[in-house]
Amino acid sequence: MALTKVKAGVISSDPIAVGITTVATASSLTATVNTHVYVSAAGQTITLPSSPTAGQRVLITVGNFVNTIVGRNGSNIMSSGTDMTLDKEYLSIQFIFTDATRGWVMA
Amino acid sequence: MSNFSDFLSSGGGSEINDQKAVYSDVNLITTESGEKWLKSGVLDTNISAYPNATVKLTGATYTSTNWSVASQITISSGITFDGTFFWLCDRNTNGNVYKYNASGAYQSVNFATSGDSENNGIFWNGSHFYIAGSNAGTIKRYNASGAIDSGWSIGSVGGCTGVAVIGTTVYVYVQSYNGGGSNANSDNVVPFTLTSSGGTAGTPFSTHSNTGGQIQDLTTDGTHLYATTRTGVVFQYTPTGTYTGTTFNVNALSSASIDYGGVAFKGTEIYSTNGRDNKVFEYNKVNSVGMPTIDTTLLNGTRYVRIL
Repeated sequence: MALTKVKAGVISSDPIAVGITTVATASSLTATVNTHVYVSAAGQTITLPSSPTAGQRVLITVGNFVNTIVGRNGSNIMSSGTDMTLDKEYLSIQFIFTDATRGWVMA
Repeated sequence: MSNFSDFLSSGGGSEINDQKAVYSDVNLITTESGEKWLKSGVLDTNISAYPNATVKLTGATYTSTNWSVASQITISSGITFDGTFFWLCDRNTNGNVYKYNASGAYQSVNFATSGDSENNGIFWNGSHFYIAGSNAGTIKRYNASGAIDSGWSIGSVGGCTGVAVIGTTVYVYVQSYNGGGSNANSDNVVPFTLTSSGGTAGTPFSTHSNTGGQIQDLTTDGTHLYATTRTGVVFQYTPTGTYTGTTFNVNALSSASIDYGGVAFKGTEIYSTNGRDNKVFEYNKVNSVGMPTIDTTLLNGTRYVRIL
């Protein structure tokens, strides 16, 4: 069931944006915080947002390929100062930024 | 660059089909005495844990390659290979030792010997030439340049036709050792323990029951001794004198088949000389490969294979 905006004494029929929006791409891009990126083509690089703050997140889903690169964009990923390759087909994973030490952690 | 899958097992889990290390308690048992029992059917990625297959020299096949040394040598006899070059003895009276490359080309290098007028056998052990004299019955030692080591000699032990060195033992084939005539049971291989001035004789062994008489050369591949008759038949012995049952021919030249004088090993090849034609003949080694010896036992219903 879709949630609806609630105004005082009024029930609206417009659905509100719950969760995050999905961006489908067959090209490399820089993700926006709190978005879901669906990567539909092999060999692309999805760059995480720069200067993230704790709690910001990016979800990435890939298709039937094993070579999507997640660019760390200056922050760590899983405490490592290296980019990450998503080396499993149909992987769907969430990166949540925690702090400067651990950086983006997988969830 | 990291991979997503690098983090899959970081929590201590592992995939169902992970290979377990062979050295786990389950797969390999080492007893107090050091015996190793490997669980049957265990795939081991450390192949060094398995015993080696056995390789046994069983014969020699003539390659149809030969070369003449008649321009330098009157009666070719002993031959040895120093890792790069062949060195051949001239058994003719006061003959020299001559150097050839691996293809048989004379290198215009030779050296004279002293102490015995008949150079019958020669062996290079990595540091010295050991030369057996069949007239005075001496073993002399020379350096790589052919200079005699005047402070070292095994002297007057009977006609010496062959010499080979394994480690610190000099093996000499001596005609009529401790008396008796040539071609008799008294022909012996005598091991001498190397000393700074010569060698101390150990317990000899006879090849007569196998070879049927005098042998013309003695050599080694580092593991076994090889005694060669004048007809070019080679017999293999352990260093303690046990005949292994391996014998093969290096007598490709039928027209002069009774004067084979020397045998040398070079990698996968064997070379023999013949004193009548003054030629060197090349053979390929023939090896047989055998499975390693194994033992099995049952322990709590599981079969284990012992690595011997």
